Amino acid sequence: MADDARLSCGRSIDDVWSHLDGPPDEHERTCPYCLEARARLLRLSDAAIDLRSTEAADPALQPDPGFTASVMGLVRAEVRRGQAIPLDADEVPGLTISEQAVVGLVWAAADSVPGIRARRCRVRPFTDDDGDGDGDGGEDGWQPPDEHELRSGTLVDVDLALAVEPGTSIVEATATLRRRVAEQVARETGLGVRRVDLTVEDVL
Amino acid sequence: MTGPTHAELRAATDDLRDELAAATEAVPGVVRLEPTLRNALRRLQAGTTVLANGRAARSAADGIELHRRGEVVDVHVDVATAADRAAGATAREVRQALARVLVAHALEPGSLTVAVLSVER
Repeated sequence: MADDARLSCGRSIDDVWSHLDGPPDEHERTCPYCLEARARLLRLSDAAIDLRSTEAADPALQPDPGFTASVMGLVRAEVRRGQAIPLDADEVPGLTISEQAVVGLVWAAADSVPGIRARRCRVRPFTDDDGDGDGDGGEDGWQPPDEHELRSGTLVDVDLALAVEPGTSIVEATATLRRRVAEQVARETGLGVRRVDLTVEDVL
Repeated sequence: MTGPTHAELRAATDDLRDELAAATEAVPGVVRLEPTLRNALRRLQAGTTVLANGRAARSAADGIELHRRGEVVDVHVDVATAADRAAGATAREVRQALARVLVAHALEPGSLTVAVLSVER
């Protein structure tokens, strides 16, 4: 599932870029990932136009070969990053990780579970405004963070849509998936996973 | 006694930037400094090093931006980290490494921020 050119909804950044000059299509009008990507690409487009205007005044300025490809690589990476999630809740602020980096870990965990195909994913830092402090889970063997863990470090909530292959035990597979997502995110980022909300959208 | 010339301050700022970048890349778990479009566009528009009044300077290279205000230095780095070490631990150690470099130069660490943009395996 991990794909460097795709937004969290599964749409390609190149598709969004290709019709940036026109209005958002039916999917984009209601998709928060595409809307955010369009806004960022429009800002980048405006900045690029400003630069081109400056360069047009100096005929000696010529782009290096591969310049466009390099810039588009940066654009794709930049647009996909999503929000910045704090890494340390209790320490001096300033250490963050991109949402997309964490999404990539969730997708990798999902890829390791037989019968599961991950789709859209969103990772959000947990705040007290989210309501009660209880995380989801428990009945499938995965334990949400305890009170000590809730007070230290940043906690995140994961929303993951997925499809399952025929014959897959959804109960067992989702239990395994929750555990692996929480373990992998904690191990590779230091973030605590408060809850993993799974939505089975399709049977392949 | 006169202070450093603009050229000397520019060179010293660029050298400090490079030393901070090297210290970042030496931290276990850091794969590389990660270029960003924002950083690249800013450098294209304003140049790598800008002196505001002889006492302030900005300097940037791929993945790192430095802003010197007198003896206080703000640093921001964008990094890719390795999956075999928790990104939070790596980011904390990067910030400590930045502070050590600045203190070694008798400078005061200002805002030191680290953004992990990707985790690679």
